[in-house]
Amino acid sequence: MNTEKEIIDLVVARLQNLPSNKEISIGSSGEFTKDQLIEHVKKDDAIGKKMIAIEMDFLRSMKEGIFYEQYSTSNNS
Amino acid sequence: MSNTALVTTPSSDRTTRYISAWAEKTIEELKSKRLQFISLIRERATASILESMLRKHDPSFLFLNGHGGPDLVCGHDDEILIQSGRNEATLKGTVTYALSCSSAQVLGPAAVKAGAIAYIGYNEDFIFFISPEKVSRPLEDKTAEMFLTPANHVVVSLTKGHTAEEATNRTRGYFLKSIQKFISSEASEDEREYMRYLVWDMKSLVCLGDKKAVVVR
Repeated sequence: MNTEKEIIDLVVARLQNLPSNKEISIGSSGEFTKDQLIEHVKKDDAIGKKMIAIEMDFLRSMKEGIFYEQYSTSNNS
Repeated sequence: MSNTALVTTPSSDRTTRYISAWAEKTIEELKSKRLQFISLIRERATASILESMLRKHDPSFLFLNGHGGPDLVCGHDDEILIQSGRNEATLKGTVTYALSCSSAQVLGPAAVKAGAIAYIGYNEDFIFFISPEKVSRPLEDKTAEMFLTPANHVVVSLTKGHTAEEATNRTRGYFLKSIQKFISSEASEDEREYMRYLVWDMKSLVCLGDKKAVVVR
């Protein structure tokens, strides 16, 4: 199994966990259900590639410790 | 510096209806005495009306809501309001916040080059979730709220007198706080699934131009 296929499988598996009763708005591309997103990822089209980019970015962010990051100013004031 | 802010709130599809409803709510709740907000609502969010209002009011702050692309931001019915290579100089002398996809890639830098003081926007698609059963009442949509309340914090922060950079950082901080909340054991499984999209929006938000720019004194 090549890496590209593994990544697609990973993203599809992640998307399976999305709630079925919600839609995602991706700007002018429109709104998509979970099943539609999965189809786009399998087709590896522009929307699918976007979903893959988001997943890969999230994994990188976790590795970089995004959850422990702080911004210089709080939003309390 | 003028004490006027111009806001565009188109409403020609689900996405624009949502972002505009939350933008209008944010402005209404601000009740700012330091900044007078003038909204170009629905059919009034057109290029000709925006340009005329910019000339008439010389606003210090421009809050654009609508679809976008790397080099443009749209208004009602996806009419192009501002586009690099065409009328980016319209933003000269303003601080702009565009709640719009990807416009910080090309339009933002072009506007700053043409004299915009600062441009806050997203260098990727702005993504959010909606609950289909709430589409006729977007302000009751708690799922969309998780994304749109942080996104509108740029406006809250600028109106309080924070600089463009502070407003951007405080907004990223707002996103981050929501994300960190979702790691806790009290978060539902659904909420945890939204984290990656909140991270995406948070990281896509950028501030270009004069980072010390303010819209109120």
